[in-house]
Amino acid sequence: MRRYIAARILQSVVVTFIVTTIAFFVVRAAPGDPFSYESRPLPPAVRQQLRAQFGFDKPLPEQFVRYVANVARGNFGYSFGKQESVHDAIAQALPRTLLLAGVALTLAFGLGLVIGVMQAARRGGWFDRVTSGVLLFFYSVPDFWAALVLMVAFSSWWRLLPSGNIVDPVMHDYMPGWMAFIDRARHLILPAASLTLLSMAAVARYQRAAMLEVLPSDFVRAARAKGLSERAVIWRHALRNALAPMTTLLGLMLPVFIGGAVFVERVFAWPGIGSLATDALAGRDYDVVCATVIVGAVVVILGNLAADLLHLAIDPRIRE
Amino acid sequence: MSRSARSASLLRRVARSRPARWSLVVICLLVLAALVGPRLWPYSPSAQLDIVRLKNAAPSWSHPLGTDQYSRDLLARILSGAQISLGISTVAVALSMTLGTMYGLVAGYAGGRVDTVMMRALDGLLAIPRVLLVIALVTVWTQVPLWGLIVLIGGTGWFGVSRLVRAETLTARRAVYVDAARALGVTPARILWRHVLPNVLAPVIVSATLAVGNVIVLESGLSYLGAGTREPSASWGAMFTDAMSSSLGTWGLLFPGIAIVVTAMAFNVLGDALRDILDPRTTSPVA
Repeated sequence: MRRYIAARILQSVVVTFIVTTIAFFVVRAAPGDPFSYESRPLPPAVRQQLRAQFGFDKPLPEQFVRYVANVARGNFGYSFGKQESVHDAIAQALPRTLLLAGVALTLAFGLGLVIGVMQAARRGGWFDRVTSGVLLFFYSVPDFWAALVLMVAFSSWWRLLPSGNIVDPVMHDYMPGWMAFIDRARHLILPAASLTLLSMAAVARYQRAAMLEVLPSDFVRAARAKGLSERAVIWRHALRNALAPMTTLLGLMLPVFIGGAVFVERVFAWPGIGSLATDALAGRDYDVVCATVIVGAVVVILGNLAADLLHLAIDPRIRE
Repeated sequence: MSRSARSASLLRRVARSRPARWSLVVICLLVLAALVGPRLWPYSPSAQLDIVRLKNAAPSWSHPLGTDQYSRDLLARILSGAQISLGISTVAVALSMTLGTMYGLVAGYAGGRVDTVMMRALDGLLAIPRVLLVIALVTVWTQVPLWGLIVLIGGTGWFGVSRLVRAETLTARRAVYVDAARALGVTPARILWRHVLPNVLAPVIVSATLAVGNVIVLESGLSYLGAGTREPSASWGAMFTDAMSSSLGTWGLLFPGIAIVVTAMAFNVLGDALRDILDPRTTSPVA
């Protein structure tokens, strides 16, 4: 088992290196560099000097080795849009995205799991059909549209919740501790709810399928025959055995959460990785774009690793 | 079974499932609307009718879906947007599926070290959230033309399907009929094309159907982020962006949204039904 874990960690490192390679070549191999951008009017001499200063005049392989070495040390270059190091920009943005995606992930898996189990318990019943339809609807809605609808409804019509940002831009600094916490929570509700709604459907469907696979098993029949209540059979015996596939789904869903966060962050002006990427898109901030790709992928890779280890912990069959 | 007989029986099985039937009807109507709609509807999608009186007009008899902030008829724009949105997504998905199938076939059939290297590269590509990858590509590509957008979307959508195809190829490769073909001296390319490909197509068809819905949603999202189609070729996503730049809560925000959701739902339902029919083993909800 220890060998498996070591191999799995090594694999994650290799994949991270591959991602870095992809990100580098996607961005650097394209013609042009941050200084050839038309709307950055610079005299040719200055442009040449900047290129030399930031190493853009070197041959591509040399640039690549430098880039990898820098990334390994946590140096992602410089953001011309934000006028700070990309490392600092990421360090600020990443916890916010992780908070948003983490809350949404927990809610989506919690709610999706319950819904999926209830659907499978009464397959084809009214609950199954209604929730399937509703969830399919949310699954098909563009992320930003759902977020916009929630924003328009809850913050411009009913004025219940703030429409954006992570805290109140004026009052937050003057609030006592508990109020500051509530302020943060209130700002989190709408973005997290949008992201949850959109991803819950996949979780519920997966859980429903996993349950339907388990329900005809002998041990379920045995539990019923033993006279256990239907609730105990479903929630204690069947669910436990239908949980292991969910770890696989966790790995599959992570890119979906990060990708969804890009849109949701944009709608709610949530200053995370997604906003960083979209700002960089507008300002053609090469290093930032490159870094968001790498950081987004690393989150996914680490999440996958965690999911596999979790699977190992849940399912004793694969421990040998 | 001949090829036409096989596809006829597939169609019959699709027609037997109620959700699949309905989604097929919706998809056919959408395609029909996209093909003939713009010809039948009298207003042009780009004509500014009357900027004074018809700005952001509510739905009425002459303009069933109202007008946008430049007084353009929204129904005309939805119809021509259908052409672009459906066009972009079908071509992009066709590209993804071709790339993914080829990659998966080669990796699965070659096996050994080639397979390992190809799969590690795929792990890297799969780990990158697609939106971030597309954003990166759009950033370096100053002005993305329409075909460029199709290539970007298609070129970033094949990773999942190639993994499925590779898994299927690994099984098919060990089949007796492949051994037989190899013993007869058939070239690998021909074995892949004639003997392996038809047996790995089921997950490709399912993924393709689900991907069309996904791509329509993705394209609208990219437009929202400022990385999608631009005027004058307005997709549904671009219509959104237009409506948003004026004010929230206009009709221009509602109708393209409905169009996108209906289309995406139709393709998702059809994809699910196809999966139940073709490929009952897999339950993965993520395409």
